Amino acid sequence: MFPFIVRSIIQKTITLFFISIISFSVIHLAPGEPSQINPMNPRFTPELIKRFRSQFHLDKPLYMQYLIFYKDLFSGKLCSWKDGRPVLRKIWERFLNSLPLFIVGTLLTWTLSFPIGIHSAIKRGGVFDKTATFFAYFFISIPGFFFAYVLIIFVVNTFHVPVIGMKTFGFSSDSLHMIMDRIWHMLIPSVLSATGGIAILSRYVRSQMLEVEAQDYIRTARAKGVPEDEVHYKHALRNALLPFITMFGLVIPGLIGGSVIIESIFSWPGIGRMAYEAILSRDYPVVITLNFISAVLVLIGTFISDLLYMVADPRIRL
Amino acid sequence: MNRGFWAIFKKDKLGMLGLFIFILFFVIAILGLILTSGRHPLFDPSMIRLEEKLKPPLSHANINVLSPEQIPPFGIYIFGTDELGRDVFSRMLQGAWVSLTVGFVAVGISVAIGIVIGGIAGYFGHYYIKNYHMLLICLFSLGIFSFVKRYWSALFCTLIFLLLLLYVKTKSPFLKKGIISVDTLITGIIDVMLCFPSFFLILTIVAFIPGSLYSIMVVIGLTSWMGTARFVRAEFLSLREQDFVLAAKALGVSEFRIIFRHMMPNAIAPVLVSATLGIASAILTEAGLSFLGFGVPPPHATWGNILADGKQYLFDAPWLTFAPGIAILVVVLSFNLFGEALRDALNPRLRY
Amino acid sequence: MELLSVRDLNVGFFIEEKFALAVRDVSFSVKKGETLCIVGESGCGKTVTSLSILRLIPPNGRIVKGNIHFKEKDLTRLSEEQMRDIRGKEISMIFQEPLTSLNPVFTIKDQIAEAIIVHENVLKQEITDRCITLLKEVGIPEPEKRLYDYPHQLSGGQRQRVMIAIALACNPSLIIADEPTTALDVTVQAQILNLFKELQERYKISLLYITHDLSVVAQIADKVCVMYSGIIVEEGSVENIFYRPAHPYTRGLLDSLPKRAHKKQKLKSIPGVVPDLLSRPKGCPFYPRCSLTKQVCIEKIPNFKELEDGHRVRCHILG
Repeated sequence: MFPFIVRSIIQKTITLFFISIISFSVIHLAPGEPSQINPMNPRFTPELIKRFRSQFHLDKPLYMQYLIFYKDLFSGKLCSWKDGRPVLRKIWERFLNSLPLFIVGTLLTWTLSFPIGIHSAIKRGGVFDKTATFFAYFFISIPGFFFAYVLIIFVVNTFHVPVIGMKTFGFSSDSLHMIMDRIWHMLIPSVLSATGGIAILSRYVRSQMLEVEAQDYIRTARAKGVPEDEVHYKHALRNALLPFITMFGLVIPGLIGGSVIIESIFSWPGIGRMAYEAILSRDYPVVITLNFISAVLVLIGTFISDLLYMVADPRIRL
Repeated sequence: MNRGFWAIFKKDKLGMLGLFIFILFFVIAILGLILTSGRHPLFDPSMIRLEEKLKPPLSHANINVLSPEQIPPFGIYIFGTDELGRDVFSRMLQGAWVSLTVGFVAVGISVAIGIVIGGIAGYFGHYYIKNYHMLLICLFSLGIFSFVKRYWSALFCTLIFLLLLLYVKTKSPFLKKGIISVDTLITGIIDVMLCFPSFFLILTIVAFIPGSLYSIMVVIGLTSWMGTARFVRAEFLSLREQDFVLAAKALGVSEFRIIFRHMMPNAIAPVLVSATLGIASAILTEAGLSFLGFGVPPPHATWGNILADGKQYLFDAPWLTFAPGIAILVVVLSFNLFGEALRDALNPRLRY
Repeated sequence: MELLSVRDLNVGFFIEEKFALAVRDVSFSVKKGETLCIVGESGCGKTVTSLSILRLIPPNGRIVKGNIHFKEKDLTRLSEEQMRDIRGKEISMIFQEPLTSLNPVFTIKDQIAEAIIVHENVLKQEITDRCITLLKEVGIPEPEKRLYDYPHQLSGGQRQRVMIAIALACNPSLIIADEPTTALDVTVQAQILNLFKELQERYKISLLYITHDLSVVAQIADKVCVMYSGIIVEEGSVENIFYRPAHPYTRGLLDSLPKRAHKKQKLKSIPGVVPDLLSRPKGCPFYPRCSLTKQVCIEKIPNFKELEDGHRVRCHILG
């Protein structure tokens, strides 16, 4: 096990190096220099551009820029071009706003898709399976932003309550009502971010279950006289769950990735919206850092899932 | 693909429905391109009629206030009009072509890259990249660099000479020492690419390069080939060991012919499935980009930007949201249904 | 005293919306302590027959006719609950693929113990002891250590031994073995066959042994049923089948065995292939490959003819 961890860490470090290069160079694909294309600022005079260039080391060669960028990033000195605040601090604040959405969404996804997928597989071809399949296709295919507007129209027309933002604007009341208001505002975006996940994951659980149920050892278990429920939930499920342990590690990157559209629709001041704003205003340090961090999160996620897999599958002893 | 495939596919009613909508969408998109382009198109998507703002679907055009060329075909707005009085139906027709081309071209690019890279990793993966390869690449890129920078163009010619020299004289053991196998290198590249959350990466790139239909296709294609590459590699790895390939080799069939005549047809089925599903996700991605304002620049209509423009009028003119939303849903759904049915029909293990 | 008797068993499958009989009018019986071999090429319905005794046929299959009597009970009429008390306790089954028949995520002990726990109330320590005894019984060295191994840590032969241990766990009176040695090396195959014989002598267990290999039949069987295309074409004691084969198919099978006596002689084979489940001939299923075919063979399936004590054959022409 120990050699595996060491080897894995070395591999991941090499990958990290390339990730840092790609994150950095993606921005520099753009024609012209970062300083020339700030469309938000008409007051950019040549002198200002020059000062800007030296302030952000844009006058140095690319590899120096790269080194300075990551040195600043890791020492926490890297600042946003827009408001001059440290990037990591900014991201951390927004991250805290995104966290509740992410937690609720992930919990919904994982708690709902497993029962749905398992039940569909066991009762293959039944009414439940067909209904679940229909809804899964529906939710996989519906564009998230369209579904968001359908939900908004529905909720606003039936309940006559505001749904945009983290809380009702100008609303103040006792603490219980405040909490209820917060939860209410969180509900729709998190349900929205969960539906797609539930649809995909439950289909995956179903096909995994079906595959395992067709294995020889399931027949062996039946031949031993094991009750049907135990055949499904002990023998089949243990095997069917193995691949999902891998996916559990990959939940972590969802922290940043999938929320751009939903957070911009609901004006939720989280990481996704911050990314959107940063891209709009060409705030390079923030954009690069976000890309870098999310790739690193994927890396950490795969590492964790490798470890989990090793613990769970007796066939893998490295 | 044999008759057995069709027999199974035909029984999948949802799959057939998917195929039907897919063909219908294809026809509509091509018709849409013909009917909305040209100097005086039948359906003019950019005709502004400020007097006829936000008319609901199926409402009649007010012939009295419009000049003859402003009157929509048949005198009705089938899907209503938007905030500038443009005919939403015409705009939807124009957008259909965008969705179709983005879907097909982006997936075409990603599948092409995926097959080539996956095929190389699977078939030539055991070869090693040697020191002199690296040296050649370094020299070559240096040459390119100096050529671009112009003032070193003399160096460029020298480098070409050096390259040739090196090519002839690769006898030294150091230069022939292997560093890394092709397979390790390519799986490494795939791993690095998979680390980036695709939508965010696409968004970043699209935002920083001049927006156009083509750049979106290329960017989506360039960032989504990893899946195809992965299983073309896996498929090639297992096919390479199989007897019919060994038999072909024993008969002295050329490598090129083995790859394209013997192995490719066997690997193509899963690629086809993932391409179909890939088209669905490419259409969704393009719609998402357009929705966020990073897509095809206006005034060209896409389903995503019709929806984005309509969001301010969500409650007054819901058709601006529903027409493109449902269109995207139906098209993406049809591709998903078709792809899944294809997968079932091609996977003999699921038959019983 | 007959332990298991199968009468007129008909089992069919839904294949691409058509219903096809895989097993037609199969009857046989097994006495206590006896070994019955069912022999036939792949696809002749022998596995389906064995699975339908424990009612383990896949969900698209149905037992359409016939009954299976086991110790005064008709297995086709039992509820699923009652059937579970039979499986593993009264009748156990061993499968063809030892590599995939054990659950990869549970230890050997878990899987043997489960067979015991499902059917009996026993203490934890007792279970461990019984698992060790069982592993010793089936000839696994160092059972105390092997107990906590996972299936992938064992060889194919050892896994099949574990399968046999599981089958023996509750002292069943009948073991159904569906080609248990086909996937194994020849030397391992001989060991496993010897193990079967030993165990059978020690515990007087009846054995229903399914195989396509006549040399295995010769070693282990008391009685033999020869199946072809879903029906039993010949049935009799092992001596009758090997020394006085009556059906052309049985003769063909025996002729295709290599014999030590005539080394130079070319091996004979039966021309043609087993008919597909959906395109079976109307009459005797063997007529397309038979050298003696007459009009009557094409028209109807022959009935059994009694030749001598217990030796019966389904053929219009011979016998």
